[in-house]
Amino acid sequence: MKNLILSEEEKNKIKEMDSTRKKMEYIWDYYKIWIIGAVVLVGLIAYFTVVLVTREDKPVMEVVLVNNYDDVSEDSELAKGFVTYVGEENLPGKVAFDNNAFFNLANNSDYKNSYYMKVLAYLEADTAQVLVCQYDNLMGIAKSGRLIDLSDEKVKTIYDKYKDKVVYYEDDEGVKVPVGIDISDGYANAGLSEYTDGKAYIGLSAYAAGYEYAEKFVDYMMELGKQK
Amino acid sequence: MTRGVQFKRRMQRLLIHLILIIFSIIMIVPFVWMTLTAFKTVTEATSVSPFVIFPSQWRTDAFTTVWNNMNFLVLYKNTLLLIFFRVVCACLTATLAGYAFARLKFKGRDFMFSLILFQMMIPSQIFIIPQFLMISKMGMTNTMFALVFPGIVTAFGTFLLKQAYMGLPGDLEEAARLDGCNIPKTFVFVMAPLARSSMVALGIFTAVFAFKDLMWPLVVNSSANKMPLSAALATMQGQYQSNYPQLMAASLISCIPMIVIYLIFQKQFVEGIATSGGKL
Repeated sequence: MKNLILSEEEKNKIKEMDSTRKKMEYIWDYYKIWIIGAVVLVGLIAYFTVVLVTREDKPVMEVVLVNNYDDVSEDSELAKGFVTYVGEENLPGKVAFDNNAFFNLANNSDYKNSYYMKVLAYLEADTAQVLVCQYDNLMGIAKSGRLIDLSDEKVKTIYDKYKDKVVYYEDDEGVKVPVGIDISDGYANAGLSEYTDGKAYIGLSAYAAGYEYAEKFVDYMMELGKQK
Repeated sequence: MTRGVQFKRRMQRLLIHLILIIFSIIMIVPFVWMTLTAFKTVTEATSVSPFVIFPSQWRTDAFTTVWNNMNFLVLYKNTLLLIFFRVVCACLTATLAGYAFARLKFKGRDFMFSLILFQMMIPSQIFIIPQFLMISKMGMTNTMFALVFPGIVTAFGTFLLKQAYMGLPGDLEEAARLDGCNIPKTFVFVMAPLARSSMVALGIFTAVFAFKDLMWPLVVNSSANKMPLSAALATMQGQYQSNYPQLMAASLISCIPMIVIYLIFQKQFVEGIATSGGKL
């Protein structure tokens, strides 16, 4: 610590200088690294404080739609429809829809796709809890282990409700795991442009902290499907 | 020198120039194509005829449309801040680590350095998910810090700077110690200034990689006003069709900062490639 603090001798030396300019020049010449370091440190602390104080609350649920080019912003038919279905008063926060993800896992090369990596990261970090995509993509992501087994206790109610719509992923040992629900009709009725084969599926993240709103979203899509 | 030898030399030089010109044309064609497409109509841009090279009329609609639709000032700001912080962090951490590995003797030094080399051999995609998990748990997604995060430390930079410090004579350090410098002072006042050219090379490499980095910004920043240029451009591609004149106009506008940086630091770019033996 001795080097960090000005010694008495140094203080007297600075005091004896006849002008402030000389004092400043002397301090800058000999202590510029410490001054820059301190400024950077203060700047970093201020930056992190501002970011942490002003950051947006995490949405109560985020849905990732793969290969979708429709408007899924807060004002879209899908977002508004879901909020109305659940009731704004029953939502403690915002619901987010993200459709900036484009890949086709039917092509083996797409396992290196940036958007695919993004979806995996979102599912694993519990940033997104619900995934809406085509069959090949659902199976590809199920293979990565990021989708919950729908027969799991945590999501058993969803599985029981929509047993006839469940799709299975078959692992290397031939074990069939329920990983998705066919929501094709609901997808079209939500005002979204249909996929080329007209089929759409929902998968749920294996890492989500809770599935309350994910279940409501599945219910909403199934309800929409009945309106056809 | 006989006439025959002179003629032979002239022909050799002509051949070399011819090859270089051909390769230069090949290198410049994508850029020219991008520029020409930006001034075409969508029909001209997607025409299958190979003879539609120049636009029938030089239109600037694509530029005005993308300029009005995309907030380029914010995108430039995000990109330049990303480049600035990545360069500063990379140079700072790499020079400190490089000096320690090259000139200081401590337990486990070689083992730790081999871990750094090992990291260089692993594809960067592998780190995306763990890094995103860290950023997400910190609650820092959609921030500048999130964009800079993977570039705070660099294995390549550490390796490059270690090599630079190893190439400096030990006598300089000894002389500094005799003059009363401790290790930090020797590093700051004697060794670091001598490794400046390698630091410049690292800075240039880091700036170029930060500018063209697509995967990480795409994963970590989903908010439109927090994206750098690369990620914003990626969002312009459509499922059934892309408006190529607009896409090319946006790409052209996006190139400007890098072209300006290159024009300013042209000499350092060339020196950087020569010093590190790397490619951009």
